[in-house]
Amino acid sequence: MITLKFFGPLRELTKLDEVEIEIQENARVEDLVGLVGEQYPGIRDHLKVVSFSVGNEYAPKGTKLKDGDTVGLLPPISGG
Amino acid sequence: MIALTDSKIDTEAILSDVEDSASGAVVLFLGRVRDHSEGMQISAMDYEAYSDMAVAKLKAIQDETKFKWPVSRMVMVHRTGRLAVGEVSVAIAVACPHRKDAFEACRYAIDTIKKTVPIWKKEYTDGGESWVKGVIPTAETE
Repeated sequence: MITLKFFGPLRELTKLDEVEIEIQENARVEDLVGLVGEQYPGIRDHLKVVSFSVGNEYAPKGTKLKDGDTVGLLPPISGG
Repeated sequence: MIALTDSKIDTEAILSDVEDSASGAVVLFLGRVRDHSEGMQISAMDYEAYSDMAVAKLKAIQDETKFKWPVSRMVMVHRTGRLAVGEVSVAIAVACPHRKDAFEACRYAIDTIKKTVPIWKKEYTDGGESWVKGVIPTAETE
């Protein structure tokens, strides 16, 4: 089980701050795109440009997920 | 000092925080909510942060800035929540012995915030509301 966190337009479109999901053993960050897109078709376009975090660090697509990870789905940022 | 806050940013308090008698230069950068965007009149802006990660990234920027320049004191504060036009959304104060370093360090900090800190803003205009087109974050500070 991992915790997925949604931000900005993703949070607004899914109406969710976060959700817990089951992942396959050896799943990688990039596998979440398909998984999340299937569950929330409304954010598929946004998923094309999303970045990921695991914990408080940006995570490359190939990062292996493990039970208990907190994964952020991060749309392009616009702070400042 | 590093903070995310949903209260008005107190620039006087920030300047007090970087008080240091060995520093001959203090640069204060304030980012504010503009009243226009692509020909539209802006009435307000919402700022949303991934708080834990944003604080960690601000801390990384501060560490990197202090590593690259002789910074004696530094404060970075970013707002969250609803801001009106003219309100300060981000404040960075850097104190250094000399001005060249203070300007460069402050410039590096704000540029890197825009590239690495997970914060999103939504603007409210006469044409409706929309998330501001952002940039794909870069993983590391440079």
